[in-house]
Amino acid sequence: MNQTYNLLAVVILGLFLELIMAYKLRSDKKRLEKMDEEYKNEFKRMKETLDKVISSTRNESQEIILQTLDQYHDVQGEVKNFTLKLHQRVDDVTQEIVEQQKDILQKHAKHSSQELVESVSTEIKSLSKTLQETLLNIQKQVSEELMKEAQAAKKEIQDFKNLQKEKIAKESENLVNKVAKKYLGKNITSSDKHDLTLKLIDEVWQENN
Amino acid sequence: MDTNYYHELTSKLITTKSDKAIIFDALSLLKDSAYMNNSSKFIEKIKASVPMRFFEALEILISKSATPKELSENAISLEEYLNQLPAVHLTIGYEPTKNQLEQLVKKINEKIIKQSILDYSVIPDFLGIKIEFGGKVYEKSVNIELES
Repeated sequence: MNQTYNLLAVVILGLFLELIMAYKLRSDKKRLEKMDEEYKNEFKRMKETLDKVISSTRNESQEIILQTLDQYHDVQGEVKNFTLKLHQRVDDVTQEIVEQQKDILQKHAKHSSQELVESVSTEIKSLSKTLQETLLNIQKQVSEELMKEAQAAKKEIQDFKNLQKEKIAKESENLVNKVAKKYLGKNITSSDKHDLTLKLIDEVWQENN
Repeated sequence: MDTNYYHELTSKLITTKSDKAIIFDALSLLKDSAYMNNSSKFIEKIKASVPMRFFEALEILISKSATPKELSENAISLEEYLNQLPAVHLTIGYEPTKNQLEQLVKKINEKIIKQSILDYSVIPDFLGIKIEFGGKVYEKSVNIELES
């Protein structure tokens, strides 16, 4: 009996398990179906979103391209203007360079003329100095020659004067001595002359005051 | 420094024109060198350039001056004093010795003027004296008496 019961219990348990499994399978299937549906919905939504993004991107791209084209046109215009200005600037700069070169040439010419003047001036100074030196040398030589001549002449005159003086002095001394000898009985000396001079100073001053 | 002091300092020292020339050169040097920083060098420089008898007088002048400025002023005053001294010119018949010259100066200072600067010229055949002083000429000579 027990075995029957056991068997019955096993059968019942088996049936119960089968029921559970069936329910489980059914539940899983429904879940899968739901997941599939959700997936499909999600996919659809994603596709729509993607389409929107693509569309939006395309529009934006077109706008960007158009803007870029506009900008390109603007840039092209600017480039044209710039090029034009550049040409004008180049012309101006060329003109400026020409002017500067003219100035430089003029300055150079002026500088060269100044240098020339300075060079000539230096040369003149140098020549003047040389001339002055030469003149000084000549003057010095002439002066030396003249000085020699003058000194020789002076010496000659002095010698003559001395000779004459000595002669006259001697003659005078002789005369004075002759007189002195006649009156004093001896030749007169320097000491006698000095004593006489001292006495004569007394006399002269007494007579006049 | 007053006139009496200069008289004492110079009356026996500066009696002739050549003395005056020497002392003027020395005073000029003194004025030029008065501001020298090194006083011993300054004294040596003066000493080397003038005869000793003049140097002694200058040394007195230096010692009496407290500053270089005062020394310079005293030198100028001495020059002025010497310049105002009257000049006496003698013409004599012989070249006097130093002693004879001193005697002549002494005689002139006794008879003619207290202090003067004596100058003289020698004419060898001249036997007498000719004195030029104060714009006048005083002469007494055997030559004149012989001629007359």
